[in-house]
Amino acid sequence: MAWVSTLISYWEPTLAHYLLLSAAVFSIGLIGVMVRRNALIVFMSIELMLNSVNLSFISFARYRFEMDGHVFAFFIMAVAAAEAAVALAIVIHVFRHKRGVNVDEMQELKY
Amino acid sequence: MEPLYADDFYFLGLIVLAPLLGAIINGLFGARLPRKVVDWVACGAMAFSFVFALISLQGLVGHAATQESDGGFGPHLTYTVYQWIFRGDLNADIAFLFDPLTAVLVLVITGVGFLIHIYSVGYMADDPDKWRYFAYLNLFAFAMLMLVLGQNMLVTFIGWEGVGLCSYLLIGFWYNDEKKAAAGQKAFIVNRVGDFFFILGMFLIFYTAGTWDYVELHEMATSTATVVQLLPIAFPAGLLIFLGCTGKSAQIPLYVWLPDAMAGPTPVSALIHAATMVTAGVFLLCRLNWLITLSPALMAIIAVTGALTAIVAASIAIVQNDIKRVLAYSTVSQLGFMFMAVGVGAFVAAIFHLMTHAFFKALLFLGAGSVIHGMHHEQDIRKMGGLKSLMPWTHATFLAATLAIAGVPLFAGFYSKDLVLWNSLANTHVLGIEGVMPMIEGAQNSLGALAQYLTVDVAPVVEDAGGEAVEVVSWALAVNWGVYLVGLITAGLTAFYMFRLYFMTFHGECRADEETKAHIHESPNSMVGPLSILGVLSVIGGYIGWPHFLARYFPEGLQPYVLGLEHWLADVFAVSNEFRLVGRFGESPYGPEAIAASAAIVIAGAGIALAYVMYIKRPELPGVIHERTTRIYKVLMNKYYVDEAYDFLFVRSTLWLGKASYWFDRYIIAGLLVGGVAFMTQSLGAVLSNLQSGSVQRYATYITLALVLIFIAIFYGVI
Amino acid sequence: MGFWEPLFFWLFAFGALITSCAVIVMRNPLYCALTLIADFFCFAALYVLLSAHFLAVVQILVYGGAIMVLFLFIIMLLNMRRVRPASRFQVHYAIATIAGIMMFLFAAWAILSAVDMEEVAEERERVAEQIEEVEQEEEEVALRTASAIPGPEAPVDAPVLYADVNELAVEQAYAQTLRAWRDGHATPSDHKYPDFDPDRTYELPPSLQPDPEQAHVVPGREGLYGTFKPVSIMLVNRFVIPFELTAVLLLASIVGAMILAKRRVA
Repeated sequence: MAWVSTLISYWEPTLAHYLLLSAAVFSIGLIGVMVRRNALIVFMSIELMLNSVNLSFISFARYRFEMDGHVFAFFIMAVAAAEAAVALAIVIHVFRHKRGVNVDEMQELKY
Repeated sequence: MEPLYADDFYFLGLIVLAPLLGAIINGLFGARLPRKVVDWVACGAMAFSFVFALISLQGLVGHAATQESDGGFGPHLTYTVYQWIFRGDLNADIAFLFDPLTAVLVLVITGVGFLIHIYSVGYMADDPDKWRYFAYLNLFAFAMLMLVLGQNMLVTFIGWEGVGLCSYLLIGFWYNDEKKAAAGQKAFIVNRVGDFFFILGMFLIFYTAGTWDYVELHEMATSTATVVQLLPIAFPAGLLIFLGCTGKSAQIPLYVWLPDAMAGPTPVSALIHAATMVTAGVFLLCRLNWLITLSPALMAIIAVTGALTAIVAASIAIVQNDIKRVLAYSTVSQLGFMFMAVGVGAFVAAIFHLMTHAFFKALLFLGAGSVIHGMHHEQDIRKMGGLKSLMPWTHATFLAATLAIAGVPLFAGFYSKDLVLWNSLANTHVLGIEGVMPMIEGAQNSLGALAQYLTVDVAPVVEDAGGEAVEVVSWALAVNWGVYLVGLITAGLTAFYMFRLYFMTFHGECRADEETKAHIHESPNSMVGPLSILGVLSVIGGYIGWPHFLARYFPEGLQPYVLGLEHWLADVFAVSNEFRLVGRFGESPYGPEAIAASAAIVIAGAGIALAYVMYIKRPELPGVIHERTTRIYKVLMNKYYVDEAYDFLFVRSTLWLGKASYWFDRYIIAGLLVGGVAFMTQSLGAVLSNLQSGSVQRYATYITLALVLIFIAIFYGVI
Repeated sequence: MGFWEPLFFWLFAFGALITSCAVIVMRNPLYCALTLIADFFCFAALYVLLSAHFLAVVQILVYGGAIMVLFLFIIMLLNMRRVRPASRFQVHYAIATIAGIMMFLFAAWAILSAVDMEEVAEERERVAEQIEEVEQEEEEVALRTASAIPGPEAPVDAPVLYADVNELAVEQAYAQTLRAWRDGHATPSDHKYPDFDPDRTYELPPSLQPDPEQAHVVPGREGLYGTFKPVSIMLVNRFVIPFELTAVLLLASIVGAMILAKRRVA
């Protein structure tokens, strides 16, 4: 019956499954941050990355029977909310100045 | 009173904290605060500091009552603010030490400092930058208190540098005047020269003893087992520290900055350049008395330097015409007296003179400030005269201070100056006489027994019979006699030039022009008040140290008070006084002491009388003398050409060196090396600047790419 | 355990992956935002599967509700379709995509190299046996007592390598922890700070003390793993300072957002 349990062990999600999912979503978010030109979508990608980290925290918390990870995820959510508010305010501000929110048009950093 | 632990007496921290807070408040917000508030903050900080000092004094007295005198450091309170450095062998805390010696200094600093703050309220009333002035003044008080309260040499050094900085800031307070700014720089640079020696001395002590803590060093210097370690460095370390003190305390060869420092506001001259900062050197040598008494040669150097400074400065003061300059040279001269006292081992006398000098010299400066204030910033005494009736309070207090500094009996200066002179005549160094040194190193008995041996057995032999020891002692005796005679002459000169100053300022015809004359007025109450208090102190300040031959006539109950300072400081100087120094005239030398005192009184009287004759009775005499001794007069007027010599020796040579360095820097370093590197960098930068596109996303890509590369490196085991 | 629970995991995991990809692929920001909302719901479902009930709710409320509404509001406010430029290819997009994929590969390599699948299988069998025992015992107890079923001792002695131990086991383990806190055998700070004085007793405030009666109630009812109560206990105890600071952060962000977004009066 060993092969049954092996098969089951692939069907049933383990910590590794959750972590792989988290890594995948993180990478997708990372690519989004790097390639999308619309600042709003860049922020959405950042939210994706934050969420994938939350998923890791909660999986680890579950794995260790502790709840510290939950508290961390909670704080991340609070920070994400604050970040979203400020980020969107910045987007509005930039939009007023440039009539657009394209990230590759903002190159003042080199000066 | 023992509610607080002696090793955690937090009022010591508060003494220091109050002026610091005052400085911070006035320094940061002073420009926006109302002028009244600035006054209150500055004076309040000093008042609090004074109150905390009194509380600490009470604590110290209470603590001393519970302590047995065990020949150790004596009663002291400590407070550790925090551990600053603790690495390996180096331990230095921000820690404060409050012993009888510190107590005297702290009370003088906070007390006189408080009076001078009050005085400044009136004196600086019209200055738009008053807040800056008070911030500096409070900062100075903070640094000075750090200096005297420090439990280790490092904290003392912080204060030492801090007072130098504040002195510079306050001398150049009116920085728009180029001369005044230059005077500030001169003071700072000359002080830095001294500070450099001080640092070297500190390092030498640390290198040998492994600690900077005064209590631990004291323990080392007083136990027979460890004193051997300190003996070889006693002379070099002591000399380096003494050189540091010559900078701060304006002794030959570094005294040149103090007369120029009179460019600052007059209360600053009173506080920093008369009462407190310049006495830091005296304080430090007294604090390290157990170290410097290990080396009689060093003591002789200190005594001779002090005596020379005293007489040179006094001789210059005779011919100066600027009221503040006369006082400045007088300060240098009196500091010379203090160093003389330290050099002959009369530490109590040094501290006593420091204290009384703080009273009467601060008063003299404040009185001079009052005169200058009343005369609309006229400082030349040839244009004064007859102010007696116009400024009665200033006149009365100034007279008291002049009598005190001249050494007239019943005024404070007499007692301290007489003590200095008497000790320079009577003290003899016993430890370290050649030939006795090997005995110390071989000694196995306790230090007390050793001292017994030295004082009882060796000293009479030294005085009576021949041998190598006599040679050395006769040399030491010559030093003592020389120092005493120079001191006596200086005392006479002091009396003369001070009364010259007094007569020219307050007596005779008023030589000011009509317009100024009409406006001469007595100063406001905030200036006269401190003057009166200091006037009282200048009279009674000496009553805690009567000469022994007079003290015995006081009733039994008063005995602890008429010799109060000596008893109070007994523990601090116990080692030096009991074991290393001895009186030449035996146990109770009342006869010689009385003769010495009479000599001092007579010579002071002669000086006063001479001044009276020359400037009141026959005002034409100075002119006659002047014509007959033009050359000497010119040398004195130009202060022995010391400034010119220094200018030639140090300033010019430095300038030449600077020019050569400039050429080297311009063509070799800047032209060849820097230019070459710049060219390379520029070329590289042109290539690399393409990478810096300003696009955040590209930067993010670079970061990710770098991470991936690092991962690859790890994966393939490159790292 | 079993078939159905893993099925939901796969469902929502692939849902999350697909919606995430959609977020960065869609051209219209509005569609991006809508797929992102779907993504957040998938995540919330995964949190439920991980017994993080409280966070699942917060995820929906904060992310799916507040933040995304804000996003949609801004997208519509700015009306970006007009200003959208023609997309043009840039070299660094390719580099970025490759770098992102490489990042994932390395992460996956790191995760998988830490997991031994055979060990997982063995552990799973061991725990399955334990749980079977527990269930039998529970049935016996249930036969004995009609109403409240006292929980047995923790069925697992050490953390196992699964995320998916069944709900019962997790909650019992956590109930044991809470009991230990209550009885003073352990404190919330245990093993958290190596320098912490272990002899110092740590008292929960009375209002937060687990009810001794309730502690023996079958877990899964209240005050247990992943629910609001333990999270709040931690927030007001060990994490109280970060928690308060979060309030300051939120206030700062409110003020900052207002200052940034307000129209300048000339």
